[in-house]
Amino acid sequence: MIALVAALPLAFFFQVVQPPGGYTVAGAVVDSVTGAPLSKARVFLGGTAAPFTTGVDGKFRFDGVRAGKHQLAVERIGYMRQSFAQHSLTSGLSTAVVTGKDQATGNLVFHLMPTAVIEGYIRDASGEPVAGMTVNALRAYGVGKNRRLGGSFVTSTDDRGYYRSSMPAGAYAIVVCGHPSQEIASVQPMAYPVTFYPGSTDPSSATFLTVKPGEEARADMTLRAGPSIRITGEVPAAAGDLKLSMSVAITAPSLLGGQIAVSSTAYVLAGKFTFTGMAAGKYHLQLIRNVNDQEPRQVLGAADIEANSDPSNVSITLAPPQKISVHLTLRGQPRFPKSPLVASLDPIDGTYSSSAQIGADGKGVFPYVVPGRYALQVRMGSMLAVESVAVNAAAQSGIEVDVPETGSVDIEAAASTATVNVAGRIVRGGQPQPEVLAILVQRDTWKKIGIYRSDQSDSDGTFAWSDLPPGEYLAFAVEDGEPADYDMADALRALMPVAQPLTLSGAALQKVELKVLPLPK
Amino acid sequence: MARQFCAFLLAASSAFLRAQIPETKPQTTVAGTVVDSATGQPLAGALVIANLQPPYSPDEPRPRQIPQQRAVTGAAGRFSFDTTGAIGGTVQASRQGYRSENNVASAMVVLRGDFGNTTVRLVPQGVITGRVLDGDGEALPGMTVEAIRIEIADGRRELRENYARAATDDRGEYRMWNLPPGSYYVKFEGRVSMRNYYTANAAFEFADLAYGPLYYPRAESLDAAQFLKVEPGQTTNAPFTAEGRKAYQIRGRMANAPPHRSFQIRLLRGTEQAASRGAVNMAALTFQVADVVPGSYTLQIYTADGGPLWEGELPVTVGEHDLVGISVGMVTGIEVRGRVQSGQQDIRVVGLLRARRVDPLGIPGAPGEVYAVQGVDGFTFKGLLPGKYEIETNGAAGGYISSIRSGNEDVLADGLTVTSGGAPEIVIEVTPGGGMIKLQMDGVPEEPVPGQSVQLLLVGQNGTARTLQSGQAFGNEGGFRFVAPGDYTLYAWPSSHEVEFRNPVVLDSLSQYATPVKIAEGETKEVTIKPIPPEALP
Repeated sequence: MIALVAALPLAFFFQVVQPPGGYTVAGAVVDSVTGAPLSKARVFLGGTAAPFTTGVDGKFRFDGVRAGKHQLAVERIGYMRQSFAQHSLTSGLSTAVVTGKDQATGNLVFHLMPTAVIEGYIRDASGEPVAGMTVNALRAYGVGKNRRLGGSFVTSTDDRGYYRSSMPAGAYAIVVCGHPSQEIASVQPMAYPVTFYPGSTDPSSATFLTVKPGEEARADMTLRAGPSIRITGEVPAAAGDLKLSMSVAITAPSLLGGQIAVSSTAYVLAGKFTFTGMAAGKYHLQLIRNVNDQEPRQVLGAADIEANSDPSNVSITLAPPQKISVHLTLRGQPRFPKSPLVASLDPIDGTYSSSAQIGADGKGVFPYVVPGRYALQVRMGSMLAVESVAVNAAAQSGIEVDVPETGSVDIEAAASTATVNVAGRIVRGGQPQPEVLAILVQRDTWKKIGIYRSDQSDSDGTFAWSDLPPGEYLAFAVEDGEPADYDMADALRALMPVAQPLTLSGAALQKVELKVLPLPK
Repeated sequence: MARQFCAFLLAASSAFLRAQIPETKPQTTVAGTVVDSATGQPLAGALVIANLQPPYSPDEPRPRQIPQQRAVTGAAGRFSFDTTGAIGGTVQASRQGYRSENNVASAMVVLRGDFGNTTVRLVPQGVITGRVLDGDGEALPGMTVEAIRIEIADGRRELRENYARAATDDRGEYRMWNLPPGSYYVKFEGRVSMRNYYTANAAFEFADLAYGPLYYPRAESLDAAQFLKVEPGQTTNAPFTAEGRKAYQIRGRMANAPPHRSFQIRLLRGTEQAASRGAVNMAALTFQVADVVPGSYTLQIYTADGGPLWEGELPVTVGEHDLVGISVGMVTGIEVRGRVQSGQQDIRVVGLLRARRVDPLGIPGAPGEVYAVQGVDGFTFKGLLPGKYEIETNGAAGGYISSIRSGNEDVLADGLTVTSGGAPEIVIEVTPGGGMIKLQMDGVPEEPVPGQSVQLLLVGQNGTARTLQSGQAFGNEGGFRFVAPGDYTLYAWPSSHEVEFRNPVVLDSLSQYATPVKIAEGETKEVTIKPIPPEALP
């Protein structure tokens, strides 16, 4: 799935008469759980220089504020920085405060969300604490069966086997991995398999732990040591012709079809690599070209292994990455003519994307593309509409490109610079609704690339999507959650009953009204 | 014929050696217990390694090897190894959360044929933990606490900074574990972070109030701090209350700096690090420091990426506003040359010749000791950063060092000053000759015992400078050669005890144990000395 960064709402269609004294933005910062006013909170109002620090009453006040949309944010010790009416601490969207005539901005309540805590003790089968283990709390997005994993919060156990981590409220899978003391392992070869809360090595029987803001959850786990296994491997071609510096990354199956890193990467030396102290089980290995941090990760091959004996052997076939040429025809006047024109191949099933700079002749090359299925995207300061894609002279129905294991791939594509800006408003019963998510997907691609744009309505119910390629879209007004909760085909499918079709064309600015509709039970 | 003859000899010598081993009760195993030194209780889960040695035979060109044996103790802490064919060796034990009595990873017991029951003692490590609250009693999360271990090494009291570090959690709690027993200062550092980046300037969260640094219990500087004693297996509580103070930022650029290097920035208040968060734009060579409480500081920027060291220092004063637009000139390490001067051509400084940075602004991680590259026509110290250095040698063969000068500077008395322009040539004057002191230790066994030696110290005077020569005696004999003529005092103590002898106050406190010696040119003096009893050492 491809998550597209939501554009900040812009106040580009405002025509307001400024009163001489300006407007007032005032209110109080309170803890969202206890409702208690919070002192020592620094309140930032976009466009004003100095932050306001609250006293014991939690109150803040900005006078002489010009008319317009203003981001309101709060920082405080013990809390994560957050913006006004953020639906969760991981959501990048918030509600801007709109000042102007008839806008009530003098009595705002900023509900500051505390983090949640997950803590617990990790012990071995004899009840002894296991120190120095890595504890990953993997954030799950979505609801019910429609789950996917997002970021993770990592900590490690201390001498008591205790760990404690604060994190945004949400649903988490707790995954423990690591190696027992090297010294002991040299005598009694043993290793701890990746263990999922509540205590299984099978990711499918993992359960999510849901923590609310300000809540503390306890997740103790017992690790059962098994034999220690060496995984040795070779990359047949790597010893000879390819003078690439390479490493192998090893991961174990995690929840929801994901993978979790279980060891640091191993260098490939003379075409060989070794992982020691591994627990028996299934692993996925990726051959990676060693590049510096600035460059995207380049995967040169992969293999799966079920390691049950010591040593377990695996061979990774070096799939020399393809160099793919692209010829792009650009139509129309670009909005950001000084920006570089970049085409990218974003993986539909995989993880790593590849991008190509397009020269003045319209030509470019994608270096290191791993075989797989990709979506072609074109950017020039902003996203452009890809109108047609042909691979090796065969026209494609959408924007997808198949990169086979062998054979050359020449892409011929046309993109249009015509973009549409959407000035939207969310209403219910004719009344503007603030703090509602506005989600946009492309009618033809949502099953594959998920959410195309998202925003959250501001205090006057307005929202904005900018730089959209003309085309057919579906829009949704959603009251709960954050975009990441819906950024998967099944979750979007569940929203389809309230989809509002949109055709964007021609006009540079299109006004849209989205209704908050109840989802049929 | 020849082969047979050799075989006969081998058999004879083995029989001879076997005869030396007490045969009263032939032991074929060494067994023992690993115990917790604090509780005396047996320790389960300890790794025990036996390295056993066969008898030495002069007829075997390469000594036979007995394979290493390993075991992990069970609930009773017991281990047992086969000692067939061994006359001695060692048994080593280690366990997570434990170290040896002399603070190394594993405790060793030397076996000298007396296989039987042996006990290996492991010292449980300690914990320092505590809560950090602000003036309102509210927890301060995400802040750093540091343990500074106090050690004495080579006669100096050394503060091992960053011996352990921990971050406070959401309750303001921190925990530093696996600490070897000993003395520690605990420092609440406040918010500490350092970023190197290529993009526009970074914004710092909570940048209006700064917390710390504080030394336990509530001192703003190390002088007023109280050290904590960490006992084996014990948890020591060190809570802090830190008031937030109004803080400002320092922003500026580096001059003459190498691009695309990774930098560290720190603020020193006097000689101690203040709490600060820094950020450097590696391309634009600009920097930013947050959490600066009004006051006077030394701002230090230095490379910390393993490449050649660059450094810049600037005194700054921050008032009730941000300090912006300052420029810090960067310099890299410089070469300082020197030579040895003597009446005789062939006299050289032997072995070690090093410059040791002694000014308190020394950079962490920077080479504090630079060894000279010695050539035919002199020596060179490479990569010396501006600062104050002590030149240390372990003497000259055939003579004694009578002076070390660099231009007008008396390096022996005042140290060597290196500026960004370097330093004048160092001239080490060696006077051929000198006297000799032969020492006989009173009450020390004649045979050297592994792990038991005597520390010797010869204290003299060169002009205004006190000279110190240290050595070790194995068994009951020791001494000093090529001693400059003059008056000296001698000290000896068991080297298992570290004494801060470079501190004049500590040395003077031992004056009642000093043995005066006067040495004339060419004289050899025999002195009997009694090591200071451990209970009398500070």
